[in-house]
Amino acid sequence: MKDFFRNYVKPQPSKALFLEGMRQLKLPGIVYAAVMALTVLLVNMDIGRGSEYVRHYMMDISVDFAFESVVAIAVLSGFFLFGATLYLSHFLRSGKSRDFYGAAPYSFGTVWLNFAGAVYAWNLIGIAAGHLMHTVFMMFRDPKTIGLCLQAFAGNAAFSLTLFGIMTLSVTLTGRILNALATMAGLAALPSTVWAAFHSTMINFYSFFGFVRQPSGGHCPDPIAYLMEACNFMRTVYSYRDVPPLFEILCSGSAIVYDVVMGLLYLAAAVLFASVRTGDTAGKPFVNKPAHLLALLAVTLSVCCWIASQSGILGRHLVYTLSGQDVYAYGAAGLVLLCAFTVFVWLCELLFTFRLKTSVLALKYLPVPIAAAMVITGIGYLADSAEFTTKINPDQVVSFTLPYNASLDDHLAIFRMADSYGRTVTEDARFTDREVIQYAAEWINQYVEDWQENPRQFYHQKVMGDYSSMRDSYQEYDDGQIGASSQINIRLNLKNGGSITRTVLFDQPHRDQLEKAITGDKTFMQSFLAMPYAAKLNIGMEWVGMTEDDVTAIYKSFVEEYNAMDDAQKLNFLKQELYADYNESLDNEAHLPTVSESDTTEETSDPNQKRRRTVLVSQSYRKGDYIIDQCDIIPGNSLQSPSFYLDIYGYAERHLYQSGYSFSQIFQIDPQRFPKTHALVVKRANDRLPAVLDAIEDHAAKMNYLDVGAAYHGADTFTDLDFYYRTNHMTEEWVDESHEYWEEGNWDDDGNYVEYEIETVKVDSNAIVRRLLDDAKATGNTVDFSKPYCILYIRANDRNRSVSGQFFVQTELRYQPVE
Amino acid sequence: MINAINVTKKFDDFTALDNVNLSVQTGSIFGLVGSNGAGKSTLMRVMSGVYSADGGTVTIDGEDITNRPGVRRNLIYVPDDLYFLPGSSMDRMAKLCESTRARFDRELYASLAEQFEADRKKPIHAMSKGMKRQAALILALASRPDILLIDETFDGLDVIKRHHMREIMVDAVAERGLTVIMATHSMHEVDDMCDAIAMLHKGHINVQSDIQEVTAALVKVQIAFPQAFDEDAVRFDGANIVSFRCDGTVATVVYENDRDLVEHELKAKHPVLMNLLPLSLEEVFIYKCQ
Repeated sequence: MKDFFRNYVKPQPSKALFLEGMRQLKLPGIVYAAVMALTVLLVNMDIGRGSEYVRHYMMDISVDFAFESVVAIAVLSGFFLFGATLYLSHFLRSGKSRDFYGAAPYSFGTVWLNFAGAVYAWNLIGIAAGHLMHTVFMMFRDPKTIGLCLQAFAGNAAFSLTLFGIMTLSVTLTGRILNALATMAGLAALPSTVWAAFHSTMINFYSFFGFVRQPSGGHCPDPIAYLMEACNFMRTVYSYRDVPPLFEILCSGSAIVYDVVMGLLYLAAAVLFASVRTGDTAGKPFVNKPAHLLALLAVTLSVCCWIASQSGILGRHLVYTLSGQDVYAYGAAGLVLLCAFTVFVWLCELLFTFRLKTSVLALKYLPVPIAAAMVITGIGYLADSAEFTTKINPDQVVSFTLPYNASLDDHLAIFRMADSYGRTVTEDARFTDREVIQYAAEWINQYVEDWQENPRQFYHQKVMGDYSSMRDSYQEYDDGQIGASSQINIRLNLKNGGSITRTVLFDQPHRDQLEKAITGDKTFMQSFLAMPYAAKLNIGMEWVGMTEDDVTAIYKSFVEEYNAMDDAQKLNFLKQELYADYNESLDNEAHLPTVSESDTTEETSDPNQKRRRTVLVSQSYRKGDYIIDQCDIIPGNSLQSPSFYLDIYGYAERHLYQSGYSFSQIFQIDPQRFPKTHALVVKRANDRLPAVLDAIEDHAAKMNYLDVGAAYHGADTFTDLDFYYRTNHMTEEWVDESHEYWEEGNWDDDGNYVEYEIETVKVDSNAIVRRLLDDAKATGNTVDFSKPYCILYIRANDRNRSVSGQFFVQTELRYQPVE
Repeated sequence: MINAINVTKKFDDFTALDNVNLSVQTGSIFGLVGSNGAGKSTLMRVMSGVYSADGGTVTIDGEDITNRPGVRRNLIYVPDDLYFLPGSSMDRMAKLCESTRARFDRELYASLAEQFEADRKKPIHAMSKGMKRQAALILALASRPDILLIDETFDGLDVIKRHHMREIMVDAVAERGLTVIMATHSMHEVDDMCDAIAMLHKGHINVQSDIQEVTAALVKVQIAFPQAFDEDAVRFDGANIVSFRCDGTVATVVYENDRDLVEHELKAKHPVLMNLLPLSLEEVFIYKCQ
């Protein structure tokens, strides 16, 4: 240690050197800032072009806006930092500049500290230029995203600090640019390597560099894993497809803090190493042999694992149900991995030294990393095996938790109730009922027995890269019901303070049993069903013009009615989900409808439709505001003010969401863009409600629920399922397929084709709502389904949860044209 | 005053400097000569603080420079392989020097540039070798150092520029006590300018003294006898013959002995011819390094 610090000179800040560094980077810095601003401008303009189309569908793209710029800025920043760091660190590599700076009355550490400051200062200038451009853009497009823009700037500044720290430490430790590159890769991957080694050694290579769901496997505390994930450089690239998580990962508070801390640590290490460097080491790796090998080990272990994880050659086995997250194990392919690792170590040594002889001699050290990899794998395997084969004693369990996971819709799988309700629980659901605990413990123990009997049944062959499609397959859509074999995480909290989390397959029998057990948990149900939730409500999308009093009155009536119910009625009320379409509407999660990737038809001409997917926006109510604003909600009726949401076309929306378009969107949609299947719907929508209602009344006998307009129940009774299929197959009945579009009429009982009279009529939509509510109050919960009735869908949100429900309203709705 | 005391420098298994002792007085011009690979540049780098010595110390006016960059604030090192910022001009390099040297004198810089007719705005990479060195020397002198270490001082400079540069240096030495240490292969330069020299050979200093003493350390004699003779014929008690070349009856012998002693002893042998020849510094260097 003493020898290491033999040449240590404490680095000092120096204004003169800092300004010199700024001068040396002046031209590249200015160019960088200009390129940054221009790039962000182009990105935003490109989004703008797309956004007109997107906006047409009233989809919220605010997060997309921020995200696109964030990535562009992060990437450009990385390039600039790389070049600038290499440029200003030349005195660590070049003999000529070493002579100049070495003879100057400053230590290498002082020079490096101040030059590094100059590099980062220019980087900040460039990032600021980019974000300023973006902010200006957003001020015109969507002023409410200004806050997001600031957050994005902070996120990028912090993330670039980590990148910069990695780069400076790499160039300080190495002597050549190639060596520096290899070291950068290793340092970038090192946090994940460490985390993966300790977290789960059923080598989870996917989460190593890719998505990491909230880990709950018991090996690594969630906050640490989340922070690791936040700083995972590779995830930046890998996770590009997922919009919101990446924005959160880069720009959330914890990510910013983590990046700043890691960046400063790296920089501190870099300056320390520079402070003990002498001119002798210019052009050489600044490490002694043991440190050199340690660095080699870290770099090659990290990079080799990454290569293996990306390789489609190595078979990857999905192990599910056993851990809190999906894990992937390598069997015989592990040997291939080790061989590849060995070769890679040798190649890295060659890179570091450029001497064949030394590289050959380095082979004698290879048993070290190989042994390390085997030990890591072995320990983890043993630990995991022990854990997976240990049965759970229910007496040791304090509570049973269903961890909330927005991306998995766990509660949806459990509560086969109104989907909107099932989704609205935004926190862990915790049960203390012994029956529930007993059930959960038995459930897991069954899996332990199955594992002991035949572990292979838990392995699922999958080639790397199919993850997303494999993921989707878990949520199968089976005859309109929730996925028959969903996968959820369940956690048992132990008396000793620990917890055990498992991912289990959730099929119908389990669901029924669990739901039965859960609903028997009085404590849970009491809080779960409690109303009202809060004064913060959502906004009606279609019904603009509602007054504050209207909103308050409606809400109060809803609350009164709900509170008057007993628990069973409440639960029943909330379970009135007629159509189990999990690809559903706006909920607490603000699950924006788009065209699902699987739902494209050959008629779809817009290529954007095939790419769009459901955008899951997390519980940021600012985003909720954007969504609502995008949907032309009246100003002021935001989540910060009392308002009410009425979706009289709830079912219609669900159906339409199945195809990816909401009713409200349809109002403004160019029907040309839509598949033939929904042509009639579109036409009706475009013709405005009154005309639709007219048609409904004329043909009430032939219709049950329409997917637009108020849902009327005619004289015939149709089951929900029938209706669902009916509307999906409406073209068979209503549309002459010989025509490109729809027929504007229908066949009556006499076989006469009656054309609909379509006209645009102005209607007082508020009057319709009031009428419905009046009828709802008069009706109570008694509805004669043989008579015309309507479905009134109401939802109330607060910051943590929301509740919604459908009221069957006995009504014979007539429109009154406005004079 | 700058001193190197028992300085040792190793690079892996190779010892570049082995217990080197050097003392340079303030206000003098010191020549550091040596064969290729002798360690001149290494010694210069150690003395300027670029390298850290593995053994021994370097002091400036009694202050150890080890791990104390501030001590060398008035020391400038001009290496043989010059460094300039990519694409820079002399003016840009002047800014860099100004950043790193507190004493950088803009007026002196401008004056020197004018004297040498240097184009301050021209990219340095477009300059010739001599012009680059000229630029480096101008920048170094404009920094008003107390100690100037130059490796291959006038390499590439034309005769006139050399002469002019030499004059400026000598004036600086005389006026403000500038100490110059120049590593060079040119004995002519050393002879012309230096007050004292040190000869470095394979990491050791063979000779360190003022010029007169160095040249006086060896005596070169041309001697002839009536018959052919060998080295023994010109040997005497205490003689240290550095070189003996005989061509028939005439020989040239170099002694590392006192001049008077040599003269006296050889006269006693009654040569036909005996001339004491002057030795150039170059010859001294060659004989010392053999």
